[in-house]
Amino acid sequence: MSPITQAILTSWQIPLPAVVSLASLGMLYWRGWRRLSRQLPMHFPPWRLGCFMAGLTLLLLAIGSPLAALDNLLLADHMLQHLLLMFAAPGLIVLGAPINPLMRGLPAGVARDALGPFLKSPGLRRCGRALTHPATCWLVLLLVNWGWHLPFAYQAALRYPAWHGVEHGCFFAAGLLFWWPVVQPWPSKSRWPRWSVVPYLLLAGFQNSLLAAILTLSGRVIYPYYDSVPRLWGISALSDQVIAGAIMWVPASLFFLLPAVGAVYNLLSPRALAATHYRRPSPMERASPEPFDLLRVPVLGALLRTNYPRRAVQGLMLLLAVGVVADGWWGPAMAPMNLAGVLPWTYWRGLLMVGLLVAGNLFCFACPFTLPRELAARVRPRGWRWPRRLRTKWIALGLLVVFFFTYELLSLWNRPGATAGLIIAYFVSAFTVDLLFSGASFCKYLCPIGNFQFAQALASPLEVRVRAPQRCTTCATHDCLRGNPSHRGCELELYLPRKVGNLDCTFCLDCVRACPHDNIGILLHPPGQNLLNDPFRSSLGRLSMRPDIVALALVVTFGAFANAAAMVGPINRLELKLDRVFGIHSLLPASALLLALGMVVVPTLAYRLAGRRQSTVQRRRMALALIPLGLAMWTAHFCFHLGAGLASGWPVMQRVLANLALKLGPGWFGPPQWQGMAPAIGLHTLHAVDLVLLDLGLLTSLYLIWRLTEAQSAPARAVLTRMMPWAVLALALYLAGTWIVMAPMQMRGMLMGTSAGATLDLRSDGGRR
Amino acid sequence: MAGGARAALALALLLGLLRPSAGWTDGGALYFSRAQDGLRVSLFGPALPLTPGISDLTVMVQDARDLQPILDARVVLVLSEGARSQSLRVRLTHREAADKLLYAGGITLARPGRWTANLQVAAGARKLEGSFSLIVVPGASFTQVWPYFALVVLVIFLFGWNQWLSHRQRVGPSHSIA
Repeated sequence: MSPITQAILTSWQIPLPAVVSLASLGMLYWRGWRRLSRQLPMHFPPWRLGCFMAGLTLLLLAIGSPLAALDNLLLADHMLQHLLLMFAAPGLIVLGAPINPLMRGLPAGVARDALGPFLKSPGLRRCGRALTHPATCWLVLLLVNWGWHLPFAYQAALRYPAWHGVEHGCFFAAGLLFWWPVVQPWPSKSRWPRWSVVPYLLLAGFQNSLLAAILTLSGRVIYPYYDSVPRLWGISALSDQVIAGAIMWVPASLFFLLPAVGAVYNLLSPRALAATHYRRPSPMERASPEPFDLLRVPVLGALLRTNYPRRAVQGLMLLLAVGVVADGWWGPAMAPMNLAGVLPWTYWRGLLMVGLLVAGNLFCFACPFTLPRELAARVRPRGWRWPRRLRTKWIALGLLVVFFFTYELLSLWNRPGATAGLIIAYFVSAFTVDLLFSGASFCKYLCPIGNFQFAQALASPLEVRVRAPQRCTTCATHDCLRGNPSHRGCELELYLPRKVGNLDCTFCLDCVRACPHDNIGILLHPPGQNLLNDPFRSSLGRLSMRPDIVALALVVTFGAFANAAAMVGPINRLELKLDRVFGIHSLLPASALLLALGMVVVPTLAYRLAGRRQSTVQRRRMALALIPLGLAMWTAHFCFHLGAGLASGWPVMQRVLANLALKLGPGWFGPPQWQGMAPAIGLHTLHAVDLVLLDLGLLTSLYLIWRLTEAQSAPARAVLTRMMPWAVLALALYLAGTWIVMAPMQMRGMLMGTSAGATLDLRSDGGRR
Repeated sequence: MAGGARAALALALLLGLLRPSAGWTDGGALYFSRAQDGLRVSLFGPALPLTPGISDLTVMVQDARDLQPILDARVVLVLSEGARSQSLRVRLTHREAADKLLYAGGITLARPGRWTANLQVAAGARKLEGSFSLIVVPGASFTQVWPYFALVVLVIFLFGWNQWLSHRQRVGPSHSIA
C-alpha cells in the first residue's frame, strides 16, 4: 500500500462530542424501542431499530471518516459525503420512526416536565405541522440543495470550518424533512394522498439531476477553491468536478427512483391491516418503571452483594500503595519517573473524579486505608465512642485545607518521597484512630479525602438507598444499622430508611448484605436532586443546620478553582512578584496568601454577599447548590491531567518491573521509553470535554438555585431577583473555570514525551534506548 | 461604599487577576535529550503546543555515567524566531524551578511561529550544545469557546421558555386571552 493511501485510510477524525451525542441518541432510541416493540410490535419491528442505528453510523462516517478528511481536497469526495448527509443517513433515521422511541427512551419526568410544555404548546404544534407539510419539505430541499451549491456559499463553507458545519447541518436537516412525507413514520398522518409521494420523489430527482448536469457539463471549474488546493493522483479540478457531477447524477438518482418504485408497489398492494393491531399495555408496563439499580444488573449485582469485589479492589490498592511508598522512597527523585509521582497524581485523582461523576464515592469503596481499621477492630477489645463534641466535619475540613496547602507548598506532585510519607501517615492515622475509637470514626470525622468525596458525592448519580420505604416500616431489627451475627451494619451510623444522599456513605455495601429484606439497592437518581429538599438525614440532621457541612462544601467548591488556578501562568507570575515583594526568596508566603484568598477569603465573602438578604437556612441551602459546579471543575482539572498523561504510567511500570527483575524474558516489557509519548488525548478534545463539563456543572447549579429560590419565594416574579446573586456567583465561577482550562496548565509531575510543539533530537541518547 | 459592594469589588479585582495568558510550566514533555562529553541533558516544556506568552522550559543536567543530577552547571538557552536576526538569551537557574533539581526560567515566546532554540550547558570542563525547534501556535481565543457559552445560553433560553409555557398551561387559556 502506498504511503498516501495509507495516510488517507488512517485519516479518521473521531469528533468526541459528535460520538457522545450519537451514542446517547442510539441508547435513548434503543431504550424506547425496546418498550414500544413489546406494545406495538407491528409498528416497531427490529428492522426499524436497524435502520436508525445504520443511519447514525452513516452520519458518523460522513463526519468522521476519511471522507471528511479529504472533503477540502476533492469535490467528488465531498459530494459523496453530502449524499450520505442529505439522503442516506436521514432516510434511514426517518425509517426508524424515531419520535416515539426517543420520547419513550427519556426518563418519564424529563419527557413530561422538560418536553411536555413544548409538545402541548399550540403555537409550536402549528409550526411543526407547517414544517412537515410535503410542500415545505420539498421546497426546503430545493433551497438547501441549490443554495449551498452556489459558488460563494460553497466556497465559504470550504474556507471557514464553522460555515462548513452549518452547511452540513442544513443538508442533514433538509434530508430529515425531505424523507418525512415519504416514510410518514407512525403515528404521523399523511397530509397528501399517498400517490403524491411518486411525483414528490420524481420532481426532487429532477432538480437534483439538473444541478448535477450543470456541474458535469459546465466545462469550467465552478468552485475555484479546488483549483487552489494540492491535487491528488493527478486529477484536475475540472475532472474532479465532472466526477462529482456524475456521482450526483447517477447514484444520487437512485435515492429518488428506488423509493418511488417502492411507493408504487405499496400503492398497488393490499394494505396489511394487521399493522394497525395494538396490544394494550399491561398494568406492569404502564406503571412508571423502577429506577436503574446497579445491584439488579446481572452478574455485577450478584458480585457486589458479596464482599469479594471490594476486598479485591482494596487489596489491589494496598499493593499499589506499597509500591508507591517503596518507589517513592527508594526510586528516582524525578517524579515523572516514579510511581509516587504518576499513580496518585495523574491516574488516581482523575479516575476518582470520573467515578464521582458517573457513579458515586468509589474512592471509599476502594480505599485501602480502611484495611487497618479491620485490623484494629480485631486487636482492640472495645473502642471508645468518638467524643460527642467532635462529631462534626470541622476537623476534617481543617485537615482538608491543610492538605491543599501542603500539596501546593511542598509540591507533593513533584516529591515522591513526600508522597510516600503522606501515604504512610495516612495508614498510621487511620489505624491509630480506629484502634482507639469504635466504628468508622476516622472516615466520618477526620479523613480529608473521604470528606472531600462525601461532599461532592451529593451531586453523583448513584445512591445507596432503600428500594421500597414502606417495607422498612415493618422492620423491627434495623439490621442495616445494627448489623446481625452474619453481617455488620453501617459503621458510619447511617440508618438507611432515613438516609438521603451520599454524604458519609462509603459505598461499603455492608447495609446491603445486612438487610434481611433485600430492600437496599444502588439506585440512579438525577444528580443533585437530594439537595432540593432539606429532610432530616440519618446521623447528620438537616444540612441547613450544619454550618460545618456548608463550609466543607464551599471550600471544596472554591478549592476546585483555586487549585486549578495555581497551575496557570498569571498566578505563577503573581507568586513570583509577591515573592520579590516579601524578599525572602521563597514562594511559600505568596502561595499561602493566594491559597488563603482563593479557599477561605473569597468563599466567605462570596457566601455573605450572595446571601445577605436571605435567612441563614436559605443561604446555607443555596451554598450547597454550588457543589455540581465544583465537581465539574475538579473533574475538568484532573481529567485534563489524566487525558494528557494517560500513557505516562507505562514507562514507569517498565522501570519498576525491570528493577524488580520480574521480566519474564527479554523483550517482554522492554526498556522504559521515556520519549515519544504524545498526549493520549488531543488538546482540542480535552478542552471540549472540560468546557462541556463546566457547562453541565453551571447548568445543574443554576437549576438547583432556581428550584430552591422557587420553593422559598411565593411570588413568581421575585424568583429571578432573589436567585440573581447566587446565579451571578455561579456564573463568575464558571467564567473563571473557562479561563483556567483554556490557559495552558502545568503538567506537573508528568513526563509525556514529544509535544506537538517540539521536535526531538535523539542523536545521542546515552544508555536509555 | 456598602460592605456588599466592597466585597463585590474585591471579588471582581481577584477575578481580574485571572486574565488569560500563557502557561508557566514545570516538567512536561521532553523536547530535547542528548548525552555528550560526560553530560546528559534533558529539556522539558509544556506537553501541549506552546502558545505565545511566558513558557517555562526546564532543563535537567546529569552525569552521563551514573545519572546523578549536576547542580552547578551553567545553562543558557538562546531563542530566535524564524528569519529574525534578533535572539533571546536566557540563563536558566534553579531559583526559577519548582523542582530544584531542574534549571528553569520564564521565557517569553512573543509570537506564534517556528522558533529555533540553542541549548548551551557547561559543567566544569565538560560542555554540551544542541539545537532544536519549537512551534508556537496561536493562543486560544473567544472564537474557540463561544459554542460552549452558546450552549449555556441556549439551555437557559429553552428552560425559560419551558417555564413560561408551563405557567401559561397551568393558568389556562382564559387567563392568557385576558
